[in-house]
Amino acid sequence: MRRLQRIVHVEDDESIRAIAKVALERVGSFTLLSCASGNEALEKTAQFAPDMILLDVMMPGLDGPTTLKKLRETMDLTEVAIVFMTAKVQSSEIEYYKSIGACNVVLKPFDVMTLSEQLGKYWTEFNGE
Amino acid sequence: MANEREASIQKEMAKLRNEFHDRLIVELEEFVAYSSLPDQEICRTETLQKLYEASHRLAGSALTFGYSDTGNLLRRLEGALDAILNQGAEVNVLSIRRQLNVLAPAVAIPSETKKNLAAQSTATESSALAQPMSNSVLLYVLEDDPSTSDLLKIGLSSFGYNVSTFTDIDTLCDSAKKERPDALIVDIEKKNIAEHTLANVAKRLREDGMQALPILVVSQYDSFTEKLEAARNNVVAFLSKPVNIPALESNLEFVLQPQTKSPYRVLLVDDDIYSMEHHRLMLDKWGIMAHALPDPSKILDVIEEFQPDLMIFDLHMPSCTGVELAEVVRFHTHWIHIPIIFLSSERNEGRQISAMMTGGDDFIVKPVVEENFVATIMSRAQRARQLAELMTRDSLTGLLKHTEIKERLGHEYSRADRNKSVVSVAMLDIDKFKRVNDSYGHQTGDVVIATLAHLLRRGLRATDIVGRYGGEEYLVILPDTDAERAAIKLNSLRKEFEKVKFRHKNEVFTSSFSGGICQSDKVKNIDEFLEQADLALYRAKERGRNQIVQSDDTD
Repeated sequence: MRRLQRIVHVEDDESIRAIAKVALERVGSFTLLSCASGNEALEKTAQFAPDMILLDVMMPGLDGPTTLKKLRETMDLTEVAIVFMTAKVQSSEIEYYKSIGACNVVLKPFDVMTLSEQLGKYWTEFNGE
Repeated sequence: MANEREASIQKEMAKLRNEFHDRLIVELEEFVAYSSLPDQEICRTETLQKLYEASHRLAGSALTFGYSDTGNLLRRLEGALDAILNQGAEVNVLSIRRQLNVLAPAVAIPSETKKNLAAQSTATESSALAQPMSNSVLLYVLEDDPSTSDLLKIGLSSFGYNVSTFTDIDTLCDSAKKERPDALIVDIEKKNIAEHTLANVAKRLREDGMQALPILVVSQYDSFTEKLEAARNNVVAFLSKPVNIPALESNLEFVLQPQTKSPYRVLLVDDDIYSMEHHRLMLDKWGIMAHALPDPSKILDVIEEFQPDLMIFDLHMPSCTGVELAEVVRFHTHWIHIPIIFLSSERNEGRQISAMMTGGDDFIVKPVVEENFVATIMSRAQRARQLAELMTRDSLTGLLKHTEIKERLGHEYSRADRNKSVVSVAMLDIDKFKRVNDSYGHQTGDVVIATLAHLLRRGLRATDIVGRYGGEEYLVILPDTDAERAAIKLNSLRKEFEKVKFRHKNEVFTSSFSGGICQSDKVKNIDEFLEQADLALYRAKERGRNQIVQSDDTD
């Protein structure tokens, strides 16, 4: 199994981007590309060649699901684990994200110290354990 | 090496927390500024959309940084705007204004969340700055008898409330629209003015969009009919005359406290970690502090340590069933007031009933519907907490009773010992209290006692514990605080207290208190801990009263 190394994080809120940066780069030692909007992600993701994309669901302009759809038009995502971040915990909601290609969901607010670990688990699952 | 890295991560986190705190204050001010826009501006779709996006964004980060009270207020606003923008709900300008107004930067206080590292150190730092005695609470009194009106005004002012009195409902409503009072006290005495019946007052408030204003009733009539009318008109408290000011004050405290109250604590026991985590997150999102326990055999220690308001047991666990677990817990009668709710996918009625019979209080079928689940937990936890408070709190002051505060001191002392931290204890005593009682009577003495209680509760941190140790004696526990800092804090409260003016008939007098402080690592056991604080108090009295003395300050 490939190691999880490169992660794109798409989130409109600067404070959450900053704290996720600590969680993923410092606690998790991943290589991170932070994007402030769906459009920025569309510009930069393909070149960054991520292992995983972490997408906030609700953003102004392009929301998470739309960003994912557009990304898929520009690049091959079959090898990329897609994880949504949301505050909604309804299981129907989670099912919906899975149906559009997410491998799992991170619930907000997330825990800074364990986020990396959680993504690591999702990565293992994504690769068929 | 690992420690170094951890320390540097902590440092970065602290920096982010500070930055976020500044941002939060600025953005909350922006929200509040919106509330002063004219109605038609607020109602514009663009404005609503902007507020919707802004509240969503800030709610997410506020919760991430551990500001759960603020985050939940923002979530509520977001929900209301979502309903308007996306589900066709009607715009209620007043309700939006009110929700914007409560976001005043005062709410930017991080709540204590064990789990969320982002919250930890700011929680202690900023609350150590202390919430000042809140004189920002504005009370309206509707009363046509001038002597009762004076009594309420003077009595409640001494507790730090701002009080405005009114004799007619029209003036009151006009003024309320501008000033937004926090609560209304209505006397439903036989009225000189016929339209001051409770139903009319409530109707007027509704017409002016102030149905959310809590109403407290004082009445000479104590009958069922009166109370039923009160209940029908959303009255939150009903007090008989003559008005007992400390009792009214503690009712007010209760009514006004939802914003300041510490989060409900819920213990979840479930062997299915995924489902447990799912429920935990649901509760967490609504500001309920949930502790997840996968191993039922550890439950007794966890209850002791976590002190839940409510427990949720999964009914089907491999090592023991939820019903059995409830029976084990019920062997301990001092936890009898903690409700137990069972969770199961079992829909069978008979099973449900048998589950209730043995130690449990309610039954929820999985999968749970979030809103119903959270509402059930909240209302049960609230009721349980009220009961627990009645059991453990002194009725005059609302502080912990003697046995309870001693027990808490025991907990905090051993916790500090385990964690290699310090806790300070302070023994306080009102100076020359007997003279107050002898010269002004017991009722006035009670006001002095209740006032100091109130001042301590408001002036100290949520994590500090205050109890009424004896007649005019108080015990204060300050976790994670050394004697030096405890003394600084208590000295500032002492100075505040000596400024409070009490009134008896036409006489105005002041009071003061003395205190002795001891720090936990200076003593070998809990008895010595109390003894040293008591000795220090004795020295403070000897040195002329109205001062705070530390146990190692022996001249």
